[in-house]
Amino acid sequence: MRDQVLAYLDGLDLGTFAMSQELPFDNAGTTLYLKNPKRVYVDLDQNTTEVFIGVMGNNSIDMDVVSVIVYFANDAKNLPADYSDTVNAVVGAKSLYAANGFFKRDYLTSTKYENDLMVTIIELRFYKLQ
Amino acid sequence: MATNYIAVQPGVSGQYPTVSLTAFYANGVTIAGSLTVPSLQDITVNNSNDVFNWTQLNETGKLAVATTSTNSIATNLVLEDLTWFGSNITAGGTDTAVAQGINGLSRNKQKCKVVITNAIGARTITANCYVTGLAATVSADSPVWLSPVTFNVTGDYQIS
Repeated sequence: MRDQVLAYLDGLDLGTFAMSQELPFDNAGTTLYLKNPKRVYVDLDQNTTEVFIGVMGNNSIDMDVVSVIVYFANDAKNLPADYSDTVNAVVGAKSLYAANGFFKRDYLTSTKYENDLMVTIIELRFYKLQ
Repeated sequence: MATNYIAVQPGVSGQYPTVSLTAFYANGVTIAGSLTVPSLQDITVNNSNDVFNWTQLNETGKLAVATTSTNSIATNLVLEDLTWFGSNITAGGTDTAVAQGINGLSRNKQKCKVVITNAIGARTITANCYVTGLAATVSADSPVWLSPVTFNVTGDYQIS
């Protein structure tokens, strides 16, 4: 899903924010979204499998959850005028369809402060039956 | 005093309840070939006695005696095509439980024998019943067909 989220966000006008094709961290452990504010980074898929419907036998119906986290940072004191639009644009990626079809999609947004930067973290989650 | 509880181990062969159904001919002879009901979410074995109450002048409380009981086995299951519709969707009352499927056994109002193995521990519960209470359901946020199924028991359970 990372590639699909990247392709979706690449096609949008993110205002004063720019898309990055890189992962949020480099191999030295540097957090790139802190190093390059106002650039949107998309992390690798995180996959989990959960039991969706448990049954007595050993053929429970499992559900795959794909989680894609998007990071970007901006000045903590002066919020960019297009900040809300950028957040709305990113969370719009939850409506992406995969070939197998997701029956549920949701997202979680959160912010944190690193020195003089505000970091926005948007977790997009996609659910489908195995 | 030690307390012995009865646990199941879903997924471990022989350690969880399984339900099988066998159809009867009209003359009461079983039709060979039983249907094992897969993907059960839960099983409830119901037994409810009717009670007759009366009053006596020398008693401050009503007196009671149990009369006949109403028995049923309630389950919820995940639908599987072959088990639900049977191997022959036009199967009638002289066909096997496998051919009729759960839906067919209900449609044909077929008297069946239900056997629950590994029921409440290592017990086996057997009863004659009719399949009722089907309500196959699917929804957008639960995209798997599920249904309750009730085996309405005629007579008593046999427990071994």
